[in-house]
Formats: sequence, C-alpha cells, structure tokens
Amino acid sequence: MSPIDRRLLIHMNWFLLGLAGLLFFVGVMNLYSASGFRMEDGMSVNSFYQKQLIWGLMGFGGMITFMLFDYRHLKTIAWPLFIVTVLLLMAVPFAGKTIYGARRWLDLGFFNFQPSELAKITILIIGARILSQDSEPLRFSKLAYVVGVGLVPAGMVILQPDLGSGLNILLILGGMILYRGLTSTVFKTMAVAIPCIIPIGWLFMHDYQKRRVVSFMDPASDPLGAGYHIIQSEIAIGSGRVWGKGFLGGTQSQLRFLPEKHTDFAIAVFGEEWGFVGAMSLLSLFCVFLYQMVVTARDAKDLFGSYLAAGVFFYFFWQILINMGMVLGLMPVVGIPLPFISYGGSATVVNFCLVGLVLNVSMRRYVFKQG
Amino acid sequence: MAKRKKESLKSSRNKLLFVMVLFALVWTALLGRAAWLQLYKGADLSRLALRQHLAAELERGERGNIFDRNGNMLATSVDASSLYIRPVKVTDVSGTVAKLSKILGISKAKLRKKLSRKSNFIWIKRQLDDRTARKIKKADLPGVYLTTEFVRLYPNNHLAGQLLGFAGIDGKGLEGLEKEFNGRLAGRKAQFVVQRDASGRRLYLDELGREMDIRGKDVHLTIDSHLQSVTENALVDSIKKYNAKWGTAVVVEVATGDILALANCPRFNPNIFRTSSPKTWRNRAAIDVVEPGSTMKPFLIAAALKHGVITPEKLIDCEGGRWNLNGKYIKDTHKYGWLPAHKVLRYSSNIGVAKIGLELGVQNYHKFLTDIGFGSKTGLPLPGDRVGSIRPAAQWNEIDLAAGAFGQGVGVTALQMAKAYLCIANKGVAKPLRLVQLPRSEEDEAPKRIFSTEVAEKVLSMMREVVQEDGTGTRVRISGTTVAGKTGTAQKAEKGGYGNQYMASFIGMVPGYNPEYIVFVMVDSPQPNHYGGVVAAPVVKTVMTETLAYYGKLPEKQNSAPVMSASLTPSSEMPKKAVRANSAQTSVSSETVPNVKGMPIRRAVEIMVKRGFVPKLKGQGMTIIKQVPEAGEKWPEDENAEIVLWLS
Repeated sequence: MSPIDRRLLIHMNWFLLGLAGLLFFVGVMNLYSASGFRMEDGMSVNSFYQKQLIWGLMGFGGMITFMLFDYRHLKTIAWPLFIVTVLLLMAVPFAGKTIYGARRWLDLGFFNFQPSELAKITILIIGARILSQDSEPLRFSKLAYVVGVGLVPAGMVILQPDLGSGLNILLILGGMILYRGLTSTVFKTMAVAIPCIIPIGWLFMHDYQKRRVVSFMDPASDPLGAGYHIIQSEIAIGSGRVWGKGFLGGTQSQLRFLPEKHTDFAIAVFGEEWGFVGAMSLLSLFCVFLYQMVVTARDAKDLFGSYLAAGVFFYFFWQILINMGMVLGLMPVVGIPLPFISYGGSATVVNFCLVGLVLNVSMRRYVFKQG
Repeated sequence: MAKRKKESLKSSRNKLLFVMVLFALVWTALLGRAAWLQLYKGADLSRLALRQHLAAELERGERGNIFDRNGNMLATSVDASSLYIRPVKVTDVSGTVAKLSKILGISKAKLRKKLSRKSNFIWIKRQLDDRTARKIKKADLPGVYLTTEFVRLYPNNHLAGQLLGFAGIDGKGLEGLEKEFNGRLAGRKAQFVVQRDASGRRLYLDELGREMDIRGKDVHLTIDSHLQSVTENALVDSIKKYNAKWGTAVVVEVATGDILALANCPRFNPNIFRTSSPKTWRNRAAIDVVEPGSTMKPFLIAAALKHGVITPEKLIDCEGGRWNLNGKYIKDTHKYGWLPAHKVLRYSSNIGVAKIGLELGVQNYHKFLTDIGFGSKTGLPLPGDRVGSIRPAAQWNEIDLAAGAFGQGVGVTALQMAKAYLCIANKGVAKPLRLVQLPRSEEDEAPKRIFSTEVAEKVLSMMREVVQEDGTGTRVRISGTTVAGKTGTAQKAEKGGYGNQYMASFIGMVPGYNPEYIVFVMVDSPQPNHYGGVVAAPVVKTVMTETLAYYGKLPEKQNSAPVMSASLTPSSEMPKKAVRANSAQTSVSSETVPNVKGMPIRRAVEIMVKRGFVPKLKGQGMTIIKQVPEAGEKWPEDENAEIVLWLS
C-alpha cells in the first residue's frame, strides 16, 4: 500500500485542513497590521508577517510528514520518544542557550530547538498509549501512574523556568484523563483535592508571577506596571466596539500602547480592528476547528487514535482558553500564545504537525479492516 | 458482545458530552466577556483610548516663512521649549521652587509668588535654550511641564526690520508684514487633533485621522536682500553724517512696479524688538505723512503741461527771489528774474511754480494730484498705510495753491511719492506698486493713463536738466548713464509756522531717458546742511549705482569699482556681547568656514549671513549639531552654494 492512497485522500478531513489554513492566514494578516508602527511620516511595518509565512510553510511540510505514516506506529515509539524527550530536557540546563533570560533552547546549528515543544507532542503520544490500554474508568493507581509519567517532563519544563509550557503539558494530560473518565470516587476526591493544592502552588511562584495574579485581581493597583498589560489589552479590545476600527486602523496597537502585540496579545489587535463582530467570527472559527477534532476523536477506529485526537483537541483548547482569557482579562497574564494568531516559529510548526496528526487519524478511520 | 458495544457507546457518548459541555461553557464565557468589553463597556473604553492617544492641548503649526524675491529667508521659525506649571499638580512646593530657581536663575521669591497663584496654568519661562530644557526634563518635577513653541527668527537681523515687523511670543504678528499677513503666515490650530504614541511622540491628524499639514503658508516679497542692504547702509551713512532724526528710502523697478528695497533708519532688529523703542518700529515710508517740498514740483509742471498752461519755453517772471502774494512773501533760495519753465524746475524756483500753479487753477491741480495717487492709499499690504492729506479743492485759497505748487500744505507718504513718480517714469500711465509676489494681490489696479507720453517726456527732460545741467541735483550724476531727478528741501511745519528744521529729499530716476529704476529718499532734520541735493542725493546716487551694477547695466568701467562692496553687515543695534562674539569668530578664520557646532542658531546664522550665505536649516531646536560645509573648509565660491545647518 502506498503511504497515501486515493481512499485516504477521500476520507481525509479536508474541512479541518481548510480551517487550519484559514486561521493561519487570518493570523498572518493580523500580524501585518500588528507589526505596523505609526510614525511621523506614515507607517512602518516590521517583517514579522513575512517570517510567519515562512514558518507556516515549514509547518505545512511538518503536517504532510505527520500524515504519511500510519499513526498506530506511534504506539511502538511512544516510550523511546519519551526517553529521548526527557534526555533532551535534561540537556537544557547544561547545554541550553539563554534567550531573554530564560534557558529554554538547544542550539542545533541551523535553528534553536525548544525541547518543551517536543514534550507537548510526546505527552500526547505517551498519554494516548497508556490511556488506550483499556477503557475502564481510571482508578487511583492508574491515575497516579499517568500523572507521574506526565509530571516528569512537565516538572523539568517548569524548572527551566517555563511555567506556561509546563502547565500546558499537565493540562493536555489532564484533559485526556478527563476524556477517558474517572471512577466517581476518584473524581470526587480530585474535585476536593485540586482546589486545595492550588494555593500551595502560590508558595512556589516567582515574585513576578505573584504580581501578575495580584494585578489580575485589581489591575488599577499598578496601572503602569504589572497591570499595564491587562488595562491596555482591555482598552484596545473594548475600543474596537461592534465593528472595529478597520484593518490597519488600530490606534492602540499602532501607537504602541498595546504591549506584546504580535505575540501573546495579537488577538487584542484583531479585536481592536475588527470589533465584536470580528472577535465573534474568530471564536466561531476556532469553535468549528476544535469541533472537527472532537468528531475525529469520536469516529476514530481505535482508542489510541481517539485519545490522540482528544489530546490534540486539548492542546489547542487550553491554549485558546488561556490566551483569550488573559487578553480579555478573565485570567492572569501567562505567556501562552494563541495558536495560528500569535507570532512564533516553533509553535507554528508544532501546531501544523498536530493538525497533521489529527488528519492522520481521521483519514485512516476506514482502512483498518484491510490492514 | 452487544452489551459491551452498548457500554462503550454510552461511555463514548459520556466523553463527548463532557467535552461539549466544557467547550460550551468556555466559549460562552469568552464570548460573554468579549461582548461585555466591546459592547457594554465599549464606549467607556473608547473614551479611555482617545484620552490616551489624543491630546486636547492647544497646538499650532509652525509659522510660515518670509522670503525675498530671490528666495532668501527673511523670517523663519524654529521650535523651542517653554516651561509652564500647573500649581495644583505640584506636590513639593519648596523643593520645586528650589530646583527651578537653580536651573532657571529666577529668584525663589518670584517663583513662589507664581506658584501660589490660583491658576491652572502659569508660564514660568518661555523659549528656553536646549540645555536648560534638558535639565528641566531630567529634574522630572511633578506639575512642571515643557511644551513646544515656535520662536520667530530673523536671520538677517535688522534687514528690512520695520517692513517685516515682528511676531510676538504667542506667534501672532504684531507689526509690519508679520501683522498684515498673519492670517496666511500663522500655523493653523483648529480642526485637528494631536495623536500621541506610547512614548509621547506626536502626530498631527485631522478629525478623520489623516495626517495634516498645519504649517502656515509662506510669503514672498519683491524685496531684493542685497539692494535692501545697500539702501539701508547708504541711508544710515547719510543719517549719521548729517545728524538726522530719521530717514526712509524706496527703490522701485519701473517695468514691474516691484519695490526692490524699502529702508527705514534708524534700523530696527525684530529679533530683539522688546529692547527697542516702539518709535523705531515705524515703517515711516508708509506711515509718516510729510510735506514733501520741491520734489512735488514735477507734478505741478506735468499738470500744467497737460492742461496747456505752459510750454517748456514759456517765460515766467521769478521776481528776483521775493514775491508778495496776498500779503504773504514767497521766497527763492537764489534770485532769478525771467526764466523759461524748464529752468524754473531746474533751479527749483518757488515763485516760478507758484505762478504756474495759480494759472493752472485749484481744480486742475487737485484733480491731477488725486489721479496720480495722492490722498488715497497705495494699496500696499502695510499696516498703517496712510492716505496723506490733500484737502478738498473747495478749501484751497490762492496762498494754498501757491504753496501746494512747491509741496507745502499737502501731506504725502514716501510710498505715495514713489508711486506718483512711477507714473512719470512709466510715461504717464499710472500702475500699482508691488511689494508681495506671493500671495498675488487679488485686485490689481488696471493701468490708467493720467497724462500723455509727450508730457511725460517733457517732465523727464526737465528732470534730467536738474542733474545733468547746472541744476540742484548735480551730485547724483553717474558717468556712463543719465539720471533724471529732483531735489526737495522743505521747511518743517512747527507750531504756528515754519521753523528752521528741514525735510531733505531727492527723487532719482535712471536711466534718465527711459527710467528703469526709481529711488526716492527722505531725510528728516539733517544738520548742519539741510539741502536735499546735498543730504539725500548721495544716498540716491549710491543706491542707483549699486542697482545698475547689480543688474549688470553699468558700462564696464564702473562695473568693477565700488560695486558689491557692501554686503549684509551686522546691525549697529545688536547687543554689544553678540557683536564681540561675532567679530571674534569671524576674524580668526575669515578664509575658512568657522565651527558653528554647539552655537545658538541665531549666532550661527549671523555668521553665515555676514559672509553672504543664508543657510538652510534642518531639524528642530535651537542649537547647531552638524554643519555642511564642515569647519575649516574654504567658503564656497558660488554665492548660491548650499550651506546646511542641522539643529538639535
């Protein structure tokens, strides 16, 4: 059987592919505007959108790669991949490269590689492998086992320190666990235990992280410091009102009141320029995009595929939730980008690769009987 | 098998249900929040955004420049920081007072008094220099603010000072052309908003968000800086030599009616108008109404020729220098018997013209004077331009007519005289004077013939005699060309009669046959000599010679001699300190371009202008940070070579 035959193409979820492409181009267009500065003599535009286009092309290649093989092979390489990931994460504190004061990158010569991105893919695969062994609701022992496996890379990432990515890894796994289902006793215990554990986390947080939480509760307490991001983000989005200020018309972003406007707060630029109508449309796009993953998880022919799709679903779901929540002022400021909309090289590549993984699961849902 | 399948179906339905519920909750929350921010709070947040990036403070565009006919800059604007205080926002009064006092050198008591005022906005010091402004910025005192204002700069100092006038500290034209063209020159301030970015930089936008040009428009004059300078210098020399009170001079190009120079002395430097007496602000050529004396006689002769009362050869009895008319004596300086009419003008006999005047009649003379422009405004855009005083014809008695014939009892301005002589030079066709090239004046008077070409030729011929024969104006002869002219030496009216102060004047037209340039000079109260032919004539001669040379209209021989010697020189009224600094600067290296970096813009421009270059100014600020050509390089040979100064 050739890697991709005609039937695979027929059964592929073209809709999902189209949505990913559409989101990506909305993101590039928005980046074009977000890169603009209004100067005394007209506008100047930084080249972020061009770079993002190149990353998108690379991501597209990655996506094709992730569709070529049968996803069931991932089951066999799950543990080796896990070990490689852990080894790479261990290498970061010793051989890592420091950018912006954080040691998160490995210099591979031609580009800077972020092992935490790999860890997100790894956790999807290893989680899907462990959780798909049977379909009974999880007991304590199995839960402890899964969480334990997840905590190894997550802990290492958090210690880098990269709280955002670390939490992301745990949240992906948590989502998959909830998707799998818990026994009612385990569920009830967790429902009580987790809210108790969270305040303990406060003790381990950095000062700047604590400040973010405080300023989230009361942005006006420090409007030019920690609260600045939240206030400016709300002003930018809110001043877009119903119809927005039009493409390239965002005053708050172009006059540089809005911070991080091409990365974490890119959606605020979109909200300012396209208004509530735009924000609603983009949310709907994301909604349909995610729903296609739910459908894939539902229709997958085996549990492994189903959990893979569910994992990817949660990978995107949490990022969208946290980023939008942050930008809209529903959550403290955490450095998590919005998939396809925020500028970011490795994130864009990983996003496309994972979409490729879901497409892989969706197009092979009928071929098993033959194989 | 069936049971298992059913269970797994149920389980997968539960899973899906869980995901969908979570999904729906989150999306509802996000959408709800977006709606709350954008729809419910949208108006408030928009207002916040506007408050952040739109400034409501009063802003004005830069004032337009004034140029001469060759594009040399006569008036321009540079920006400077001004310091103001909002007392309400000052947190630490004594600390602020102490710091400001130290930086600005203003006494603490004075500052404290200003600070205690119950006002929302108080100017502390306007138009600071760069260094002080930087210190203030660094001190970062709450309630103390800097704003940008434009400082008016006259790069040539006194040159055409009274003509240009000046603009006050608020950028409003208060005198001269600055006042007259204030509407055009002033930068616009309404109908726009100031947009600020997060770092406080400003962009000017109109209500629709488009960038706007709020700069004022320029004014281009017919004045030629070089001739203006020549005229001023010649006038100043005469005023000094003869201890005169003041003088004024007008140079007109006949073909166009353009005023090439309009000088007033003593000179006035608009850069430092506050330190000079308002008397020196007067543009006397337009404002001062005087009795012109004998320079009026050619008009009487022209009128008499027009009405056929005389011919140039008609003999007139000049009564031996003393003639009793209705109990009043009319006197001549020299005693003459019978003179033909042309010699009456040549020797400037009062008795002769009085008799011609009586024969001409009030109606004819009065109408002629009115037609040629006396008694009405010149139409030039000069504030205070006067109509003069020509009484209605019905009020003239015989004595008035006789006196009016030799220019007494009538009040005219120097510009009216220039305009009337333009009609003679133009062979009987009256046309308007022009002072401004741009903007064009809307209502150009149509040229109007007042008298015939023959009459004009005859008057011109007589006026040539004044200079070229043994007349009163022989001192303005220029070898290689002919000059037509007329002297004027008018006793000045004092309380109840005429005293021993004189108004010396001279009108010159060159070349004498087909005049191309008119020069009119008036000098008030010269001593000891008071004759127009002695006091005013040399000024006319210098200006004419320079003008002809400047336009290459002198024969070769003269062309090389005294010409171009006069360049723009610094004002005698400049503060002593500045003069010293200047001479030190230029004397050190007169062959090479001096280093002007770090100098205040005024001094740097003065140095350049002294060498005959008007530099281009780039950037904003008050201090030079870069110059081209560099210090030490030779001065460019080409007079129009570009010299550029960059401002901080």
